[in-house]
Amino acid sequence: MRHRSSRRGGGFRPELLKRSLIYGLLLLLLTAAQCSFFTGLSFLPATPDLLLGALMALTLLENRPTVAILAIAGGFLCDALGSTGVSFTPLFYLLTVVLAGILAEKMLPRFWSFLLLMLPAALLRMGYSALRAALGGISPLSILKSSLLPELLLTVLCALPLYALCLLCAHLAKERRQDGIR
Amino acid sequence: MKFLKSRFFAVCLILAVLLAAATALLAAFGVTGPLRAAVNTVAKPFAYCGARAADAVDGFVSVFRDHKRLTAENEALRAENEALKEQQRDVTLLQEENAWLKTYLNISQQTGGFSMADARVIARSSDAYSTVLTLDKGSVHGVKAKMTVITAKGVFGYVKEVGLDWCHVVSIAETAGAVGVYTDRAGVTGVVEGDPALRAEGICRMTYIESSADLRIGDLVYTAGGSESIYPSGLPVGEITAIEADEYTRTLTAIIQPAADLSAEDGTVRMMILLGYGEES
Repeated sequence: MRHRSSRRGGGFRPELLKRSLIYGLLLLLLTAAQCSFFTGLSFLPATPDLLLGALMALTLLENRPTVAILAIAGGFLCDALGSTGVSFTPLFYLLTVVLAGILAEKMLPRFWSFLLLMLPAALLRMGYSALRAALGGISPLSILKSSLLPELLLTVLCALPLYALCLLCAHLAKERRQDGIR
Repeated sequence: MKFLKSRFFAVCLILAVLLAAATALLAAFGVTGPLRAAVNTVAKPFAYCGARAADAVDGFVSVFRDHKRLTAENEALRAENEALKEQQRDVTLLQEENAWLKTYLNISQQTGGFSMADARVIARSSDAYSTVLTLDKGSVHGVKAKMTVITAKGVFGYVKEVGLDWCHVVSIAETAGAVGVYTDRAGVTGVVEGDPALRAEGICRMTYIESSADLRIGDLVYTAGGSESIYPSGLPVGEITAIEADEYTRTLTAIIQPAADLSAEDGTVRMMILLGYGEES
């Protein structure tokens, strides 16, 4: 016998709405912080990529489809609030979480695993920023010390507390499974 | 790796590519997509709060970050301010000097090129009969007794007594003085001398004027000069302020308001001694 609350496929589940709201709010807050708060701090040499840190954390804590959707949505939010013109960030985030997901298949959802995922992701982010700079006519080498490396460092540092935040959100958003009932 | 081969991933990838293409197309036409517009509208309060929070943090940090720079800038501005004040003082002195030199040059031209000694009043003594000023120039500066003393405005008097680096000067209002003069308008001649009754007011009297002379209040009076006079010709003496007729001598008497301030109560008044003219031989 299948319980109505655990029925899958067809219909709109309250749990799905709850997850959408929690993760949507998380993405919105992180994007606003990234595009409004951190960009306004003149003493910082670069803006950290908070969404990348959150997506890496969620790669360990959530399933692949959820993270993929969050990556596209987060990328779109980031470009909508933080830049004008072409929006390649959803594609970048999607590919990054997919690659991170491959690495995370053998990992336990622990903080050290998150750090192992975060470092290559931050390097990919640095490459993406360099590519955007090059497309904008700026030599990546000229901004390596002043912008790219600080962005890498700040992204990794600011991602550390994000793991705890994402852990909390994942805990709030997880479906309640009834014992013995699917 | 199974996820990479799944249909879901393919759909996500296509969606991401379509997003990029759609935004690129809209950007090329300068149009903001509806979804992008909606996102910005929803996120606006969050962005506003983020920006205000950033301003607050930035302001707090800038107190410490800019402290050293502001301290150095403050010191530099303080030094610059002191230097500018010093310059301002110098400029003020130079302006006063310049104004004085212009006056000096003007009087020098008026006095026919006589050499002059610039002098300041260093003492003033007054009794019931005379007022004597002490100036800071004396015999070492070439000053001799009976030399003419003038101010920027006109004749003051003459040197009565000379010391090494000082001299005593009496004004034309003193009873001992007498100056041959003429008026500018009609050329009426007379003698300006001191009067005990008028001395305290700093005014003097012009006498020996013919009763038929064309004299008016407001006429300007100048020194007549001459070989017997200690004053050169053409120096302003004053202005006629009143005319009286003496019925016994059938002459006129005019009251003269001197051009120079004979009281010399203003300590900044500068005097000039005409060197070489009228000196006691």
